[in-house]
Amino acid sequence: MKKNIYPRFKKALRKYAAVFRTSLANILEYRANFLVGRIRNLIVLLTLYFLWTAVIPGQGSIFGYQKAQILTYILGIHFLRSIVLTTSTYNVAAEITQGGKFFSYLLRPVSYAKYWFSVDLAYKTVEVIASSIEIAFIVWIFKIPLFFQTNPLFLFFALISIFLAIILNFYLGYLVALIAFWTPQAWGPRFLFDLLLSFFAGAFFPLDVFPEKAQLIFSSLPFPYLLFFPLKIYLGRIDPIGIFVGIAVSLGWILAAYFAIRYIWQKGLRIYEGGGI
Amino acid sequence: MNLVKYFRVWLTLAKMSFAEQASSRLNTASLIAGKLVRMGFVFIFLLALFSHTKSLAGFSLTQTLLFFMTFNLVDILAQLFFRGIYIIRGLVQNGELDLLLIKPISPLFRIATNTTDFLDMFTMIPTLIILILVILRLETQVSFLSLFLYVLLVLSGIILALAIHIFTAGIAVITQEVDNLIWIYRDLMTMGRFPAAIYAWPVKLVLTFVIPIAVMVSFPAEALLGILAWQWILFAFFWAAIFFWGSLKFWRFSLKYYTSVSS
Repeated sequence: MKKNIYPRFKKALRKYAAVFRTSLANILEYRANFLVGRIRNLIVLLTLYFLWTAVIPGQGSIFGYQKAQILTYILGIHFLRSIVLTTSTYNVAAEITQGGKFFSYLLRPVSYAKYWFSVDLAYKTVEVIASSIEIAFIVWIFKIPLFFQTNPLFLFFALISIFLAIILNFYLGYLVALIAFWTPQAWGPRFLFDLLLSFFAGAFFPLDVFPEKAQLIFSSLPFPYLLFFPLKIYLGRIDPIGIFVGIAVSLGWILAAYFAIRYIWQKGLRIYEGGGI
Repeated sequence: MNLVKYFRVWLTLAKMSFAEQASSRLNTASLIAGKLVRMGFVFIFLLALFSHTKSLAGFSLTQTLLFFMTFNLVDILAQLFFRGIYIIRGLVQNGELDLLLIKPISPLFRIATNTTDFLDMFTMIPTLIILILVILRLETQVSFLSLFLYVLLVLSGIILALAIHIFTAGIAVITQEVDNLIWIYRDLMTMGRFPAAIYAWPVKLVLTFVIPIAVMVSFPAEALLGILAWQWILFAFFWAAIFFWGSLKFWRFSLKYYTSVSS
């Protein structure tokens, strides 16, 4: 049995590795765009850094965060955005609605979702390298005090939650993109979705600035598990029960999104008219 | 007479933009909701922040909100009227700029007014209401003179925004590929959401003299609060004039490099 599965797996891996390599070459081909993107990211990071250093002058604390913790949160968000939120799934909607390119994928021996996940991984690889350099640069320039987690359990669960966040973010982005089967006006809803996602994921500030009741409502959404939850684990600001509950909720959302995608994909294919072929 | 002609052109283009936006209702509704939600999020954040701290770089909550709402006012007005500049790279690349250059109207005006972003009209209404409420709740007395200076500095801020858009258009004509630069401006503009006083001096220097976001956004709010020295008020008007003059010169200079390559 093993003998049959292994070559098939190897073949599939080779196929998606080729997609990964092509996407990587494509990203690095447009170097000016890439550079501009980096400058834009740096501006956002600097704004947040200056804002929080103005909020906590000296060695004070706010919302129960020490200065080193809040600055680690800001830099951690910058890093996690690159590895979790970086996605190319917004292209899926464009492909479904324009030019009939989507149809060509249906004829190829590839899974459309796995294809885009491979593209995502290429984008994530470049973003992670670039954001790591940016963070190192900012830390060096401003001599930022950082919080380093030394407890291996917190580090282990932080890694697990990041892994789950990558999958969850892909599923959510892919799911929203599939509304393009029903309407060509998909980028407006995507813009709104991305804004809501960033806010409720804690991309601008830690969600524990809100009252407890609001936090309870937020924790039932999938978004906090993308950025806020992994960083909360890394910073050691959550108890073991909270970690297990959070991971269980993440898994629940991943499963829900997976089945929703399967259902919507089947429904969508039935009404897809192949306009532009 | 010329002004009437230009107004008619703007009105026609604005009607076309409105018709285009009204035809895609889901996108339009989502974008309006998104813009309002984005503004609301920063608002909520500032309220949450000030529930734990008394001041931000020496400014109270109301004062900080004044900076934020002034940022929105200048940003929305610039978006409303100069959004057309965003299409310049496409016009250069597909050769359509030729068609605009031969029309009996300023090509720069034609490009800048190509798209009037009516979605920003919807965000303008709550922005103005909140701005007025914030001004009414300021701890310091607002004099007629400081209000007058505020309006003048907002107008000079819009001229600066126009100048930056023109510079970007010129660069796009020369290089044919850097319309992304306008997005750097947009990100730098968001630095104006908060008082310029929170930034370190080298950043403040850049935001005052190089890409004068602080002059566009922070200066009007500081003038209203009565804490902006008259030398800086004069500087703001002088800098707006210099920037606008320089941008027009640069635009004419860039057109000399236009090779009509794709037409």
